Amino acid sequence: MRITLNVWRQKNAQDKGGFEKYDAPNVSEDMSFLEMLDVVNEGLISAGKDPIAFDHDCREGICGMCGFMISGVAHGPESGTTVCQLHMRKFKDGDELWLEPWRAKAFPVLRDLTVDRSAFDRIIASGGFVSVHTGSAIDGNAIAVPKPAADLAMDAAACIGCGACVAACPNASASLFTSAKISHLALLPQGQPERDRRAINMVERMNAEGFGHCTNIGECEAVCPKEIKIENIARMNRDYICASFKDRPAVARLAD
Amino acid sequence: MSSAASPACDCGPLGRFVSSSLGKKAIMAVTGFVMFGFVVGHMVGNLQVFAGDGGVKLNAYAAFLKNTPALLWGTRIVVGLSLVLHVWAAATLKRLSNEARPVQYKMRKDIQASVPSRNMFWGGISLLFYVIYHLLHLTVGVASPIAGTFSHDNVYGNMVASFQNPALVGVYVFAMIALGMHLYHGLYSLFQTLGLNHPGYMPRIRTGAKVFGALIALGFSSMPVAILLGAVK
Ligand code: HEM
Ligand code: SF4
Ligand code: FES
Repeated sequence: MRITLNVWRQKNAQDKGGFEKYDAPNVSEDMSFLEMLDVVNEGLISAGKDPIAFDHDCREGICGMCGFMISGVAHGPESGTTVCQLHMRKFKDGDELWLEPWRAKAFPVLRDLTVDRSAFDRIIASGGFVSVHTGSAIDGNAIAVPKPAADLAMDAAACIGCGACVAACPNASASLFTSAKISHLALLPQGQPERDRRAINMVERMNAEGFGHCTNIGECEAVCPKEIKIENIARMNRDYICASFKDRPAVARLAD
Repeated sequence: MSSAASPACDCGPLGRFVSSSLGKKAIMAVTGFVMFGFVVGHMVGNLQVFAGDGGVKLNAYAAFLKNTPALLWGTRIVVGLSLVLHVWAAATLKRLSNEARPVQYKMRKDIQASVPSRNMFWGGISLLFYVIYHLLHLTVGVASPIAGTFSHDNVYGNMVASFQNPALVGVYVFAMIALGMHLYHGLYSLFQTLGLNHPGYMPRIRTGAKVFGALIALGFSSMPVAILLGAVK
């Protein structure tokens, strides 16, 4: 099959950037989307041109590195799928596609389709962890975890931090990501001691990074390759509101 | 717990809450719910226009409100304050959202977002203009088309005289459709914003929001339309 690509090309963060048109004449429907781009890139390299830069690592849908907009949809048309797991059989011969990087102030474009997502790392660093004593390991079953809580926590922990939720949100909000990271700890007994501080710190970090607010429209949930539910956003809202009342600055400073 | 996050401001817990996007959304949700409560009461009261008694009941109701200043002014202050806070939070968050995406997509498709949910801000701004006009029209009585003949004691007469004008009826019906759409998303959204989400309740909350949005739009629109058609005179 033949695919026409309009790809966002931008040399570096300062460059203005713009769309370039590329022809992909011999696409096999068994290729993944990234393999199709690999072939286009080989053509560009042998013609002495700069290949299209895009992020990728595992190509198994588990690392969260890949991702860009395909004709206006984050990770492309197949739901619950990263772009590395998307196959060309989802497209038709003669399709013309538009590839754009995630667009958000907090995700500056580095080059072409790659963006800097370290804002996510800083949100995690602000509270997405549990403090444990090192030393001899405790008995694995010392703390009972109810099975339904474990299941919900696992569902939230499936977030791979790809950033599609931000990209798809009309407000460039990071609520789905942040709420998944707050939830998977808030649902477990081990996450309780730091639960209030975590909610406050991570929400404030999310705001400070320049992400927008949540208007509960649910586009994030619709594009998330890991099908993270907006129920997590409600849990974050609940935890944040409760924490705003429960938190005592003096106690917080002691705990710091 | 070591915190990489520095406090958003040195302004105490309330200041931090209000300066966060989640805190502002919580304010919108609570004030929106208060206004919804007012709107329901306002509609039920006004539906007495259909009593078929030439306005005796409706005017008596209006007189009752006027003679109960605690109720009248209590409501005005609470609803007015809610409106101010609601619009302030909406405007502040809208700016945040605009700044969060400085470069727009060439192409961005919504997969499932409803029309009302995507137009909360501009729909809300239409409502704001409507509310200002509506107060000048039927509360203060200085706006056309009844500026000269307005009477504070004849609510019924003011309505009947006004809604002979098809353009005005159009404005009111349009505004009530905007309100219905605002509530279609808003009444669902407020539960999510306040963290009151449960998979067992959410489908019902969504349905309830649609039903109430539609009832408000239909209930309010029925009055000017009935007057225009001569069913109420
Ligand atoms: C008059 C000007 C108004 C403006 C500018 C306005 C604007 C907005 C905006 C921008 C939202 C946020 C939507 C979102 O983030 O999802 C919202 C939510 C809401 N509005 Fe309004 N609105 C107005 C009037 C009203 C009125 C009159 C009512 C009730 C009768 C109302 C009820 C609500 C409710 C219940 C919400 C949901 C809050 C939430 O998302 O948690 N609004 N409004
Ligand atoms: S919530 Fe989903 S879309 Fe957002 S970063 Fe995590 S995996 Fe990606
Ligand atoms: S490359 Fe790892 S998820 Fe796509």
